[in-house]
Amino acid sequence: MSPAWKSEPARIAGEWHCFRQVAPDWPPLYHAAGEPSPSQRSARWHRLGEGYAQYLALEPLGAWAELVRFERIRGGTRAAQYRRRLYLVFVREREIADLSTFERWADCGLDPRAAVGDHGACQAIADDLRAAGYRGVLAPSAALDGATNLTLFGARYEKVLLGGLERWENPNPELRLPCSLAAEGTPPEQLIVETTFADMPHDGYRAWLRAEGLRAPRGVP
Amino acid sequence: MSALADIPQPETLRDKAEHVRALIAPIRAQPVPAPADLAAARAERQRRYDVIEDSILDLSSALPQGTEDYDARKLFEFLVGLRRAIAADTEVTDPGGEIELIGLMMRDVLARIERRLLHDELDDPRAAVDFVFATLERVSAGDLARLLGVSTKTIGAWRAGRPVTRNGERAVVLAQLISYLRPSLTPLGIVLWFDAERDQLDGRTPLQLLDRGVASAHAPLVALARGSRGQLAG
Repeated sequence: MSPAWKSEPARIAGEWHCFRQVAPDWPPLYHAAGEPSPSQRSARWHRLGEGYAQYLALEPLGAWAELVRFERIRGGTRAAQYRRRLYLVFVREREIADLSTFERWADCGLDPRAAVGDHGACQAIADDLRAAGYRGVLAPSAALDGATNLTLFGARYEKVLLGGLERWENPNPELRLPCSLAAEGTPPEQLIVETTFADMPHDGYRAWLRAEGLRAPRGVP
Repeated sequence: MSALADIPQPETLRDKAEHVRALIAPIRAQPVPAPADLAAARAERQRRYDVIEDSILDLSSALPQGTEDYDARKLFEFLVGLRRAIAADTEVTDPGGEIELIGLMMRDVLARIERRLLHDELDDPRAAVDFVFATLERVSAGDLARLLGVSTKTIGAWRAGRPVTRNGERAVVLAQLISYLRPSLTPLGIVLWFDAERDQLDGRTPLQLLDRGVASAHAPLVALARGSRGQLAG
């Protein structure tokens, strides 16, 4: 880990039921086998051309809020025009960095503002985490106060289940994840007012600052 | 591969790619064959593999660059892996899931080929305009004119089949963008997408970028349209 770290985040193992929304013509997880250079658009925990990341949310509204924030959907008419598939993704993983709360960021010597601010700091943290053998990271959602995202580093391939989880024994847990189609539809309208857009302060981060007796910075988040 | 009979025989190059992808569609779990049925199960799987191999050979030889095509070469690499995995799986159970995984990887490559072939078709401005009209069938001539950067009179002429002699480059880029957007947006949603201010464009709208210059707008707008298809963390 780089010198910026005061301590490593806890390495946790566990099972999570996660949510991920994708366009109807897309597979549930991000993979693009054989392409000359990874083409997944840069986001919070990876940069374009430097591999893949599976962006998952622990709450269904967290998954939808990512769409609302990315697309900057600020009205019901626009929201109603989207067609997405929401998948339930069953994750059984290990070596997950627990940065799920702002306190845990601070405990590691990281600036909690980075959790919900610009992506550059998180991308650099992801470099350190991958180099230290972590397979993913739990972190607060920048898009929805109170929600938590689980991001897995690298490609994963889905097994879309028709029945229950017990019907399939995962032959390759390093690479395969069972998924179920949970819903097909449009983002819930309530998220138009609940989503934290990139130009807005993040209520959860601000609440943590207040609880710590710290002054809120100028600007966002 | 019992669904094979339902799949129409390919006509265009893109149909060929779709055809192969359908052949490699995820296969529903089959019961483990009884020892007495093992030989029949092996033969059936070998027959399926032969159909896939023939179709890939047919597709790759029809591609403009033939077997020199990058993605065609990738397909052959995966095909070799598939053949080896099948040969090693004498019990026809795919215990490590390798056969299924290679199938998913081959589908990734085929999806890329299909997308590229579609964009090749849309490189023709006339085809691009027809694609835009077909996708945005009920969108008003005024909105189509704004998107294509021409007058409503020109929209009428193009609808009547007149040649596309101006703004062809814009029509091509617009059609490519719409090809990414249409699975997840209604026609109205596509129009609204072009009019929405975006953080990724420093607060500008995709249409403003197009109006400033098609060449400079192409890369950021394709990245935006492609990037929105799968969940990211903002």
